[in-house]
Amino acid sequence: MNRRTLVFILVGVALLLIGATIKSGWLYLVASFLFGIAVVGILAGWIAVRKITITRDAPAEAFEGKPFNVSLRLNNGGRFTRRLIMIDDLQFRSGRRQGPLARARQQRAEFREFIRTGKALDATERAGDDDPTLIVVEELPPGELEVDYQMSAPKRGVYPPARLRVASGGVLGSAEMRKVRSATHGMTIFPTVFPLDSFRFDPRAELAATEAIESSRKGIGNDYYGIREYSPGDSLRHVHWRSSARMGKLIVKEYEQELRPSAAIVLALCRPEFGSPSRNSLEDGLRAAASIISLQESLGSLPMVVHPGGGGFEAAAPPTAFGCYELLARYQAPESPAGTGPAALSSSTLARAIADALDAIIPGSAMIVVTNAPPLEAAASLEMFGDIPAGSMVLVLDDSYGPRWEDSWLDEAPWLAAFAGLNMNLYAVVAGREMRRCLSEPLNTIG
Amino acid sequence: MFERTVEYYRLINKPGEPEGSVGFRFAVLLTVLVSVVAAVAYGGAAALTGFLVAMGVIAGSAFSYFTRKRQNLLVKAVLSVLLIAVFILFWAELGGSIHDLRYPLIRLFLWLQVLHSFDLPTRRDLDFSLVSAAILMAFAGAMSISTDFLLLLLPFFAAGLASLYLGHRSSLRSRASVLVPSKRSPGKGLVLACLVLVPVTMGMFMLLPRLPGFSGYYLPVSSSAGKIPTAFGPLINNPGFATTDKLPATPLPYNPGVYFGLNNFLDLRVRGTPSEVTVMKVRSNSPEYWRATAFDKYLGNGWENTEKKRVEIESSDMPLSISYPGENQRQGTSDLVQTFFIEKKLPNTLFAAYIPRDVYFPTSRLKVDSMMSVLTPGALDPGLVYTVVSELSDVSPEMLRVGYGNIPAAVSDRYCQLPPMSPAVADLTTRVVSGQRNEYDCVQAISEYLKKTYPYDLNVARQGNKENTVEFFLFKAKRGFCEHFASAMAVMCRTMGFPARVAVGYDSGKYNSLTGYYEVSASDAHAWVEVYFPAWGWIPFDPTPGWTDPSSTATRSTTWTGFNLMQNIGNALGRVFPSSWGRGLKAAGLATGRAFKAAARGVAGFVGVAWPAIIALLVLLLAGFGLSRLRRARSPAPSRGPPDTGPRHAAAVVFERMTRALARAGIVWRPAQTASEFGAAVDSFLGTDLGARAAELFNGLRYSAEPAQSDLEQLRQVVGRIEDAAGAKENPGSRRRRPGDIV
Repeated sequence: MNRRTLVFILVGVALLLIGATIKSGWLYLVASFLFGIAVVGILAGWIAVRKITITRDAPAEAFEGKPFNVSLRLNNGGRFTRRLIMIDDLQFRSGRRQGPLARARQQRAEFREFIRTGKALDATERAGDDDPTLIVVEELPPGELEVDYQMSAPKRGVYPPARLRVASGGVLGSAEMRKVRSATHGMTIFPTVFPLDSFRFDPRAELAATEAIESSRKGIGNDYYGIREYSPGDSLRHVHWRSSARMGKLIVKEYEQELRPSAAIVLALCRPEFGSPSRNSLEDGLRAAASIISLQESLGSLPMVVHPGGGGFEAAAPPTAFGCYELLARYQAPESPAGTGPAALSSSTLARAIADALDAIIPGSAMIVVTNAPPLEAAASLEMFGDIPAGSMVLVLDDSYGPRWEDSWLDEAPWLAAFAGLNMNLYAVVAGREMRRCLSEPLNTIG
Repeated sequence: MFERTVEYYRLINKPGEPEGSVGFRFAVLLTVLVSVVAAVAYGGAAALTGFLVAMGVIAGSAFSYFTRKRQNLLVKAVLSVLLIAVFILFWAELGGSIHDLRYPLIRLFLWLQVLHSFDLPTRRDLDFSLVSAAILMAFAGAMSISTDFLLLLLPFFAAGLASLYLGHRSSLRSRASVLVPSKRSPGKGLVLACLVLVPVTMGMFMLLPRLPGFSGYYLPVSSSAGKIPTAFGPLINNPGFATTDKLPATPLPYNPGVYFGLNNFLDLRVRGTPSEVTVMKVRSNSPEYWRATAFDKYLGNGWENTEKKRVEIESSDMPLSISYPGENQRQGTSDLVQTFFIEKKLPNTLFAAYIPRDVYFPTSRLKVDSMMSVLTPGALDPGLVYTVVSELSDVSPEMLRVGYGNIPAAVSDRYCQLPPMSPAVADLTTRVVSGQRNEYDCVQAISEYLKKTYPYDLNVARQGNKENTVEFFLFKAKRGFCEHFASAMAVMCRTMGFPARVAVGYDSGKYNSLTGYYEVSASDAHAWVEVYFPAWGWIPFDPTPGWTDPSSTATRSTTWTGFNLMQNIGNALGRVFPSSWGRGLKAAGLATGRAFKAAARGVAGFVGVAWPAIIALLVLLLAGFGLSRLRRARSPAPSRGPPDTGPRHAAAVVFERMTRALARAGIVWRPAQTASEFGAAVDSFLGTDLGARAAELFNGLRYSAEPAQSDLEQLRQVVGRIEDAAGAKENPGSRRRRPGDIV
């Protein structure tokens, strides 16, 4: 049933009541006509969605916000042409319809948020994020029909196999009958990677610029370790052409530093207080991390990723950048010990993450901490280790996603002093500022 | 705060996209215009008003189309002011026609259509127009009492269906992210949908129960009070006969258009066949006998109303309450509202179910006699509409069997009177009622005897001018028509000392399920008997074969009269095709209606007994449904990182399981090793080629754009074999147990 069906039934019932009162048979006929339209809509919809099979082809991985191609093969196994078929691609949508009470609750929450933050567009953006891709086939003759379209993921994550809702209300649309089909495999959506010109991983080292590293790579032939098969994301510069020609497939050179992570990226991002589901400090923190990993990969090495897991923090060294991205795609904010929900990130939690990273990495390697913890908490956690950790801290300022943030506050923030004397470069990611700019201009440079 | 709240609601209630489909707009306009024409055609508004409304709707629709992308704030403001003005006019008009709301409502909707047509930017607005047109059409239908309305209803349905299709298509096109347009017109699908819609609508129409509704709020009455004379005499003036208060010496000449019984006397010598012309249409909750008058004195060859002086009822306001001095208060009654639409000129008697109480008639004066026959100032002219609220007797046979008190002497003297007659009638009556112990059973026995013994025949032989009709009927002709049966029963009752009289009027008529009215024709003229029961008053009985007692409650149920539609269709088909077709359909319709009635009675009986269990079951079902919804709502949202999200992840899990098994056997996957190198190392350790195969499958699954499920299955098999081989290396002689192995 859809809204139209409800209108037909309500008007029909009203006419019936009037007809019963004034004993007018014509009112019964008009009411029967309205009920009949609803019934025919249900029947036509039910017949229309029967014997329709769908095969969906889509890549298994994609970056958020980047369009990717999807191909649907619709097969009408019946004898008759189906008309006005709707197919909702629910890849990035829960698909569960909200009841009126839940909708009212959500609207109330959105209204409160609007009153608190003054951002009403968040609500509409949220609704927009949830909009499925609707494919309308006006005519589906018996046989197969292929439909190609593009989608883009609104947010990183590991999504279960896409569900496709096939619906039809016949030619009148007076009702809607639905059937849900499922695709065969899920999809991993990586966070957006912003190209970075430069990023100072370690305050003790000189600024690592892409151009400089590229030229320096030519001189590391002695660190050559071996060869392996090409995997997506490998630089074409590293292709070992002779081996590729001999083995008939692309083979790339492996370098020593590639195998032994020389840096660790610590993800300590808790659930944000401000912002929309796709634009908040946690998501932007992961985007910053992905951008840094991409830069480092282009420099010839990959960092170890320290992320929440198993009640604490775990270190992982994926062999490829895509492995790192997958970890970011799966990232979930740490839960509170009592399991009551996401915990606020304290200095001790952050310190534990740093300690775990220090245990995992080669002593002396750089450490990049990406966190949306309050700046003073982050500074306090670093102070616990003195000057042992060296590297960079990317602070994603959650307050900047709130209603009362002004960009000029960053330059005169009182907490900047708390980072003085620490062996870390400090970067700040704020809402509305370009990521490339945020990660190329450190707030302090010590060392 | 208020401003922000308003701002928020403006943001979330942003108007939709303007509707650009000209076809959809045109179809909606057509639908609205048909409804306007129907409303005007059935008297909702004057022709000029209708023309202005139609022009307004056309102009408004054109304006809406050309300004659909603008905000039109000024237009909206003007429309709001006009809307308030229209509502004020509606309320003012409502006060003057409190008994019939149809006309003010229809005019309200007509002006609403005009105003609304100037503000139709989006599809939602056009949908509202359609709903409004359907309501307008329903009001027009409420005013129609003939099947001609079908001529307007069919184009309305056609335009409405076209609007629905075009609106649905336009909605889908605007919502679609990807559209695969049709290369052919949808004519076939649309025609098929319409063809299916016809029987479905008819089925629905017949299945919808005709429930009582809210009676009493709708009491139409003509406003033609000026045409009816204020002063009038005590006699009934039948337009088909000369007015006289005495039974004439020779029989009346037969007039097939007007019932001869609607007079100051009932001449039982008259012979003839009445015509099928419709004399009136009646809106009523249940079929009743529309009684006109009654006769108390039996003259041998006719009946006469001896009461020449009638009581005058006068009231400047409606209703006129009918009562007679000294009338006993009746027990066990219920109200019935009936509205009469006169189609053919009728005598100056008020037709109503017995006993009329409140009369809404366009005059301030009426006259009533002690038999509760009401006289109007003038003849009932075609076009006259009046409403009567009657008190129906709800007394059951069981109540009638119990005698309360004695028959008053005045009643007995007047209604047990008989002229000199042959004792054979009394003897016959004594024989018929022998064994019956109370008045009701005796009366019922007489009625049943007449019904079963004597056939109904309109062409019965003529009797002598002075011959006793009852004796002629019972012993000579042995057949007759309703007046004969009623007279015979009344006389037989009187011989037993039961006060009885003959009442005349019209049968309920044929129910037309399309219009919802009882169509009463001249051939429905009828006579029946009223018998006096102490404490309960006059109770009607009908001894004519083929008729049932009007007091029988079973005949009053109209719940499943929708099936009479098949009778209408049968009649129509019978005129065009062989009459057997029509008869078959008619019989099928009536049989289905009866079956539904019986089934409904059965269900009602079951519900009457099992209602606590039914309520408990419903409560349990609702509670279960609510709990399941609550559980679903409270269950955690699907995780963003489920452990198994496809072949890619599953491959990693399987490969990792293999590395653990091999690590136990002594071969460790060094961090520097690629999967292929590790596979080669495994093969050299185990002496197989399974490691290379596993690595190849793992790489394929892990890094290809579209990992295949079949590869994953192969990987699982290969890893299983490697685990077995590794287990054998770890513990020679043992083998890893697998599901299905015999233990």
